[in-house]
Amino acid sequence: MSDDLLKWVDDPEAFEGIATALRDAREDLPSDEQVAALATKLGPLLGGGGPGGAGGPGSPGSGGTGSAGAGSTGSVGGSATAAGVTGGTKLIVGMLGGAVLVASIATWGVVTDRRRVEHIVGSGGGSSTTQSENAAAEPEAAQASEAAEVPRGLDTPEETLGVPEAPRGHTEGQEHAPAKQATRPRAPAATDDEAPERIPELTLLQQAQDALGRAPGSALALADRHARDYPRGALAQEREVVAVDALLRLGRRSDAEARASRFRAVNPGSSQLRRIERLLAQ
Amino acid sequence: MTVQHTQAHDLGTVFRDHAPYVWRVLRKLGVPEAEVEDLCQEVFVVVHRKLPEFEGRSALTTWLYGICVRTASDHRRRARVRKEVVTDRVPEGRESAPQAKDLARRQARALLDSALETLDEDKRAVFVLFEIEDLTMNEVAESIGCPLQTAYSRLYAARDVVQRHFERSVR
Repeated sequence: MSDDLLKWVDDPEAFEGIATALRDAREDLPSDEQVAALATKLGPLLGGGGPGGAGGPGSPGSGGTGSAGAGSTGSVGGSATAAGVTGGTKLIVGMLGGAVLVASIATWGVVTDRRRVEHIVGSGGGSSTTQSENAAAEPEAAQASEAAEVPRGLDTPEETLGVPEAPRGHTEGQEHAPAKQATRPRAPAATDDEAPERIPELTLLQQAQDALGRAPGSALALADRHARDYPRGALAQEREVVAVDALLRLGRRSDAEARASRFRAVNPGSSQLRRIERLLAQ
Repeated sequence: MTVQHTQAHDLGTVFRDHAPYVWRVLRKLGVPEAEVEDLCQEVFVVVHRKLPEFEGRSALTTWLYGICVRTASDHRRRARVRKEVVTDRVPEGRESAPQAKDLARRQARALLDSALETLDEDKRAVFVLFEIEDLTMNEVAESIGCPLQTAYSRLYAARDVVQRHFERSVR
């Protein structure tokens, strides 16, 4: 079979209306507001530290070099703050290995969609950040303390020790499934009749990460809550890093090593395993 | 053959290049408007995780399609109970002469969307990727992970369903 089959949009003999509908469908794009909202949700993952963000190791974007790229990067980070996921930069930069994310954002080219998104993100983040930031802080803190008060078992089932990256036969079909759980409860402030208590996966893990330095017990409780709510979450491996870190900070080295061992057994080739081992070596 | 993955493919860049693309693909794969934002987020979380493994054996867009297809497929399995929010079709019986042409277009779009909804996941993915996202059939087969011949079979079956859907609308 050749690969030159005429597409319906180009086929004058296509049934009436179909070609037009397909042509229109090709132009079906999100609104500026929708793209901005998505950027807000993904802000930390996108690596923007924002002008006042925590910044990661070697984060040129946060320095504001004056280039278009740097400016937009900052706005992405600002949007992230608006989502109520403060501290995200620190977490994600850690996850992704330092400067890679932030540094490479300056290498933008000229692509239609890209330019549009840059424009949207660049103009949308700044205006809403300040007012949303404060609004987001309180519920977040409340969620964190709520989670910290609920003791969770530390014995994480083996299957929860990282994403289900079974080397054989498992693909994104399974991997991404839990991520849906992460996104379903739309935003921390949103009330949803179906899932009032569920904290989005990313937010939950960021809270755990944020709590590490000041309250490792809370961080551990949040990590375990993540393990319970998102046992096969997209960020399950990162969660285990936080959990091991928290256990070490609590002086529970044997528990940390046991958890690391389970993680190692399930995710032998994981880059997060190297992070865990570095923690244990400290 | 393998193109080394470099920092040119960091998540921020992928987002800026392809966020609207991902959005549209998800919509065409049947994700309701009300949920597409969440699903987009989910796709990019997967991208974040898998990007280091992307080796450039296929186009980045092809690779993204694959993630979108799997994400949408999983979503459809879980979200059937929420069918009531699926539609943003043009309401019936609101035609008026001044916007007749525009309405005709919108109705054609609505017909297309409703036709897509009647397709099973496999046929739908092939149809969307070929007819809307303008992939070649080779790329479609690669995205879906099926033999080329299978992709063609699904495309023809999907076309048959879509055309009959349109034909019924004018009877």
